[in-house]
Amino acid sequence: MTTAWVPLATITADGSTATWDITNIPSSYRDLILVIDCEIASGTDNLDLRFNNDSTTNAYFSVYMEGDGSTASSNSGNTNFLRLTRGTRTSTTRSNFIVQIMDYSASDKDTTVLSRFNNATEETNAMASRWDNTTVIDEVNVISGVNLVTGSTISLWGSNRV
Amino acid sequence: MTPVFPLSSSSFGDYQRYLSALAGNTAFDPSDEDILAEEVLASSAAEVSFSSLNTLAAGYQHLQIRMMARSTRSADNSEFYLRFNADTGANYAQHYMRGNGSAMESANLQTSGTEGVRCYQTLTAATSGADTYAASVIDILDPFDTNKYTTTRIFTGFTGAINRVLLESGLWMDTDAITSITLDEYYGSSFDAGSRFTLIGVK
Repeated sequence: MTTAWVPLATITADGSTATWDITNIPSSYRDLILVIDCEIASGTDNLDLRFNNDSTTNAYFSVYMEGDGSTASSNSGNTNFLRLTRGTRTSTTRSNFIVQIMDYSASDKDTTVLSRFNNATEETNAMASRWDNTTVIDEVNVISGVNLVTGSTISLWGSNRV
Repeated sequence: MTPVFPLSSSSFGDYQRYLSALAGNTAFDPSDEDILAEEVLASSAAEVSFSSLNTLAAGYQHLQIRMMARSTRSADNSEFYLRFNADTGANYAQHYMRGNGSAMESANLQTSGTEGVRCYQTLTAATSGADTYAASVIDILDPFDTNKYTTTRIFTGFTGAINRVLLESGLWMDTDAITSITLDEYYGSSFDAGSRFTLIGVK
């Protein structure tokens, strides 16, 4: 039987970095899962992704549903990055993200992303997003507005094919 | 990395005590999941099935279907039934919570459906671009436990001609162990060529 998931990269934040590029991702897997467990060093800010460092205007389309503890709402937008958080993350509170990057290696489909974001004091959300591009992804760019605290982790997994 | 053990499995030796067995360990380790089957459609198909699950999935506790799919139908908002053991009795229920980009909505579409768990708004179609597929991750919980009805949960979404993100729960009100799963396009159309379906077993 083929093991479903293969670890591809794990990053542990050093407290002085806000962006990470996971490069040379093999095209031999079917899906990717990006798991981020993090806390920002100060203030409030968002966490974004790009694929293959693509910053083309309106390349990423997203739809969200979110609850902040008092209000549930839905929003959508298209920008030059994929925003995982509609609400902001506040320092001293922990966030986790589980990001399913589907068919990243298929050149006949745009890559579609399903993401869940949880922060117990801020917000929980679910998001679907599409990178308007059929290029095979070989690089995932993680972009935080401010540094992530020491010990925050970013892990990337690939799912095998049969 | 060196694993951290819970105190209950140590002997007050060299191990450092943590209140949680998760402390210091990798946060996410889905190593007990295996690929059981996969289908990528070379041409359109009205149904996709996984069968002989009593042998193919023997020893697994849960199942997961990961899919990227379109309908051959003209309009977005397409969907499919998730049917177990070819059962067409009045045994299926469903609830959903949806965001469409401007508002939230929740409803139940079935309390005694006959064709399968209705997987609501899970497919794109011709009104979206040809490259645009809907993504779904479907967890099928305890499908072999003969003391429980089988429960499903779906995380699905797409952005195309319209935008949708949904969390859905489903129920098959039968305690039989699952031997087959059929995905059946709801509107009588087909899953489009290029649609991909992967079945994973979770121990």
